[in-house]
Amino acid sequence: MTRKQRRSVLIGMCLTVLGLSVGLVLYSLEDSIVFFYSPSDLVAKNIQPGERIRLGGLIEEGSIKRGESMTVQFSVTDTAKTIQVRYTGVLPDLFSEGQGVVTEGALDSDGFFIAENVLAKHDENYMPPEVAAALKKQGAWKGNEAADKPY
Amino acid sequence: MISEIGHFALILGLGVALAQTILPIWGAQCGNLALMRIGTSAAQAQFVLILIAFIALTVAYVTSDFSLLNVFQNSHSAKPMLYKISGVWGNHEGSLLLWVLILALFGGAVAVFGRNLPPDLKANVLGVQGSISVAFLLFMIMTSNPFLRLDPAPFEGRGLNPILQDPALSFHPPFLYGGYVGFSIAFSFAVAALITGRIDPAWARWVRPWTLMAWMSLTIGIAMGSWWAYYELGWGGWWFWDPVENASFMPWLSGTALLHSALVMEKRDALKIWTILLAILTFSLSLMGTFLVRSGVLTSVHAFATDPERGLYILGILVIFSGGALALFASRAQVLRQGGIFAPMSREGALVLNNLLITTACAAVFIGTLYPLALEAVTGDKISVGPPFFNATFGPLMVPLLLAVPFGPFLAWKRGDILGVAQRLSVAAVVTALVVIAAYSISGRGPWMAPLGLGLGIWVIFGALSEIAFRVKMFRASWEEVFRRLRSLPRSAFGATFAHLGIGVMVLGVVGTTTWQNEKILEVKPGEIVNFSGYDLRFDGVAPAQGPNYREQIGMLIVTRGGEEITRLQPSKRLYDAPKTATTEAGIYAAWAGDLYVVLGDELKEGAYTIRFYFNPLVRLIWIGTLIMFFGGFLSLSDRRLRVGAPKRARVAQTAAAPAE
Amino acid sequence: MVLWAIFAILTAAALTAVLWPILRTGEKDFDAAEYDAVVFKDQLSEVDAEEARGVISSSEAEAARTEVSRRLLAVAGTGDRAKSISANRPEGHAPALALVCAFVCVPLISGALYLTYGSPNLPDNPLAARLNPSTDDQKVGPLMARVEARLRQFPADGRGWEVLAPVYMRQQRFAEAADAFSNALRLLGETPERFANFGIATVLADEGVVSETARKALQNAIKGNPDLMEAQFWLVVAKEQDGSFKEAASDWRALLKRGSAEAPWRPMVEQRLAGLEQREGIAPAEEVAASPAGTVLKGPTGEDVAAAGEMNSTDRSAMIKQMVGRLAERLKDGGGEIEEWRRLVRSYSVLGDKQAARKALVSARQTFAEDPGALASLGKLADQLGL
Repeated sequence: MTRKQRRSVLIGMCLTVLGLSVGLVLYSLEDSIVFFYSPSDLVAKNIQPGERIRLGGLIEEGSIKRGESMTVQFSVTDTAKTIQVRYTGVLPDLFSEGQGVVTEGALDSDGFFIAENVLAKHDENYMPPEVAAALKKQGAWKGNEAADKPY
Repeated sequence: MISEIGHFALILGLGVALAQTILPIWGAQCGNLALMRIGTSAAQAQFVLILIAFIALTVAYVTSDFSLLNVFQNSHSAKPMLYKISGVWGNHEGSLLLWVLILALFGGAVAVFGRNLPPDLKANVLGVQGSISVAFLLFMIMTSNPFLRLDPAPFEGRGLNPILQDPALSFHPPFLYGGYVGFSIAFSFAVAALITGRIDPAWARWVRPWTLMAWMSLTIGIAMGSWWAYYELGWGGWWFWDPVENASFMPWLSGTALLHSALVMEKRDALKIWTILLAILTFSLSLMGTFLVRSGVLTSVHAFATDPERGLYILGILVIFSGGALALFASRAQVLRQGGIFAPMSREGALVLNNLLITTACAAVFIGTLYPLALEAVTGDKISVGPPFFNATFGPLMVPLLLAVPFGPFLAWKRGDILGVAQRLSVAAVVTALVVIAAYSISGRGPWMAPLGLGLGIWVIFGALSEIAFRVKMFRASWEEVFRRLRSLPRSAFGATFAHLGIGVMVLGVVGTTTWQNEKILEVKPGEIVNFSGYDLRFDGVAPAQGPNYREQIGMLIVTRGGEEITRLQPSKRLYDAPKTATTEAGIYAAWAGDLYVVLGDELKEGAYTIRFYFNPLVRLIWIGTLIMFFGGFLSLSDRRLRVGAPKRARVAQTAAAPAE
Repeated sequence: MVLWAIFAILTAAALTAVLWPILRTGEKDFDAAEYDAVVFKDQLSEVDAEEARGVISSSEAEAARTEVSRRLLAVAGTGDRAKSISANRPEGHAPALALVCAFVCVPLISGALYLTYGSPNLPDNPLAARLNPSTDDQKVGPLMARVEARLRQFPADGRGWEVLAPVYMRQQRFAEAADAFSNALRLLGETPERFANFGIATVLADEGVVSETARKALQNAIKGNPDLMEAQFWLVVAKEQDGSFKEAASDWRALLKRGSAEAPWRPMVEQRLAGLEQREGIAPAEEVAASPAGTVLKGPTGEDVAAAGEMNSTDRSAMIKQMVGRLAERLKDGGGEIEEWRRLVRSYSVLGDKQAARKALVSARQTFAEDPGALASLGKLADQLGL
């Protein structure tokens, strides 16, 4: 092989790998992005049942109802709108009323949000960033303690 | 008094770092050897001063001196001693102090052990290293000073986040920083080489041990973090593609690429531009990781105090150092003469492929991590890019890489004989095929990818073993000959082999646990027996207990297999006193075949609890693999070849005298 | 003095370390190429070793040797050049300038920065020093653990709660203290002192906001014993929080009149009153203005403690106020739902703004005048909050 051929083989190899991986990245991005909405967004943007999204907000006081075995029903609110959520499984350590929460799942045809995942918060001062932002928008942000608490 | 001495030493360290930045580089410019040597003495002095500051802060933590704001906010007198100490870096200010301490440690180490470096290169390296210290020390003293005082001192501190009160996590940051900050040396070497203009194979030889050290440290740091996430977060997973994890994983990937490309540069004088660029990028990724984690752009357990001002400052450091280095690179790159030529099918070709795949994978992780931030900044839409994205992009890139790994070390430099290599790998190929077939017949209707994935791991492991077998002429020479050769092999030959072996072992663990994990969430009444993954678990209810600074509810499970008691698992839910926080402790039974992993959930009616059961096959191999990789790095580092000595004084004098004759 | 001496020694040591290479006489020249040559020679010997082990063929070894030798020759060539450059450089004035630079960086810049950020006059204050060694305080930790353990076993032991509660108070664990005091109150019977203690702990646990529970307890306390000054104090604070500034001011004055001149709480109350007068434009009464004011003494009152424990409770309440304001704004325009109105009323009452809470309650009743269910829930809320 001449020097020129060698170089073109190398460059060809690089371009193939890069091309394939760009395709891979674009394809996966298309497929695995999940949008985050607050209850108001959910209503405003008219999200269709079955579309996979993340819903975040505060757990409404007095809304947690434990059903048969491990099914739990609760309401997520951003103070303007409220969405009923159903979830079967183990809840995170600090799941309690008045706390911020992020759930992942989809709406069903009756307007219930069926959560597959309820995301854990690491401690009581930690507000999931999306929830904090959504609540700020609604003017219901309670105690921004992040600035003076260590975590 | 002690804390004020610490504060003063820290500020004095800044002054020394400033002198370390200006004088040696100036000396290297005008050829003044005395000025160049200032780098050496100043780097050592800077390390000692920052060490004094670090010790002072540690003393304040150990004695619960709440007259320091930082100690008050992050410690508590009732905390166990280990966590009082690890509390030093369990917060923003203290972890920055640890960061600059390690920065100074690496600078001091180059000053002491870098006798083999030409004085001008060493002066520039230490100068650049000093400038990084200046930036971070200024940042720390002005915006995140751990020595700020409170008067009067509060009686009791606020405590350390309980989730951080864990032995593995106590030592995770020092190792992680050892990696992050260690790559600063590669960066300093790259910038110094660009300044002096001498970029040759010797440079690659000098930079490799330092890069290797940083890489080893980062490897262990990441492994510890993942180990902690595995048993502390209670979700049965070991890697979540969390942005914070990615922030440490990206420098690791590009650092791995750097190690390999520096090898090509050392042996063949090729890939010079690329290697310098990688050195700059690796440290830039470390800085970016720090920025992402500390700025509050990402909120997580690592985000400590989130403060936009601090974030901006780190962003400023990132822009100045990466931007400056890249600008210098751009202005010098065209004068770099490209060195040795090679065929695509050669050791160099294999290492290029390695670099190509690893950096592409790194770029994919980069996109997945930053895309949500970019999109939010541009359109305001909030999205999350979850594990599916990373699995779909990172996974496919790793498959060809792993397939190619065993070939690399067998290929000759310049032009390799692919058929000859294939022959030498035939044993490994046969073993792999057998394992895949066996795995298919055992797993039956399980996921079809799993046996192939296992095969990949086996292929890498046996590929590495074949290499050693070939080198010592196993089965081709007498046993005495084999042992003689085994002893005479340089340790660095084993280094690469062990590192690759470790990757193979880790792949086994990753594939096993991701494809065959068994998960079940059940409502269990006391006395009930659950049959799970071949084990019988009897739930005996829950008992309260009191820890040093927490109360807990311990679930009691007796694990039997075929009627024989194997172990008792005690998953628990803890409530810490200060700050008031609940955590979950998983009950884990570790066996070679896999871990039985049990998490206590919520209390239901009549003493019943929801309990999550996981069976994680082969999961231990993930961390064992990283340990083997670390050991490989250690073997290489201990090899004499990476520590070629300085020219002897007599010889310098001789050549210096020569022109005069 | 010792501290400054240590600083001086540290500075001198650092400066010496930086300047050491200039002070020391050593070789003035080096050859960078020599360092490269060492590496390449080592590479040559490696090639030889690998060939000897039979890892590479002799033709490969030969090619590698040629390549490395070429590198060796190349650096030998540049070596002469580099040396001649460095030999030609004049280096006379560089060390003098370097001395100046080192003096500016090390003692001057560092000194200036330390004087800006340091607190050289503050002594260390470790836990061991804070615990007064003359009392039994040192044993407080283990002792408390024992009492706590006992109480977990026998939660009906009122004496235990009563012993434990003040210790909690001293450790600023106000919520625990409030619980303990309330247990004592329940188990040992009601006394004015217990009411007062419970009330004060509750206020401190709420970061200085006097809730309805606290107010009732404090009122019960002074009903039984009007001399409980701290209870009196917080009741006046409650009045301030209600917005009844005139009443609060006259109460403050009454308190000052009653207390002796040496009462430890006097400066605190005076300060509070002065602040109130200034803020709300209440004319100062003559006899109070005559009393010595201005010196801020550290009284053992709860608020100091609370201020140290919660650094930015003002920030926080400002934030909450803002949030409530926005909610009120929205409700004024768009009607809103019953839950939102309830939240508004509750928020005002938590903030201590009873008037606003009552006003909001009235508006809410008007908005939901035709909804009996909503009215009932508002009525219940009003009872709960004591409106």
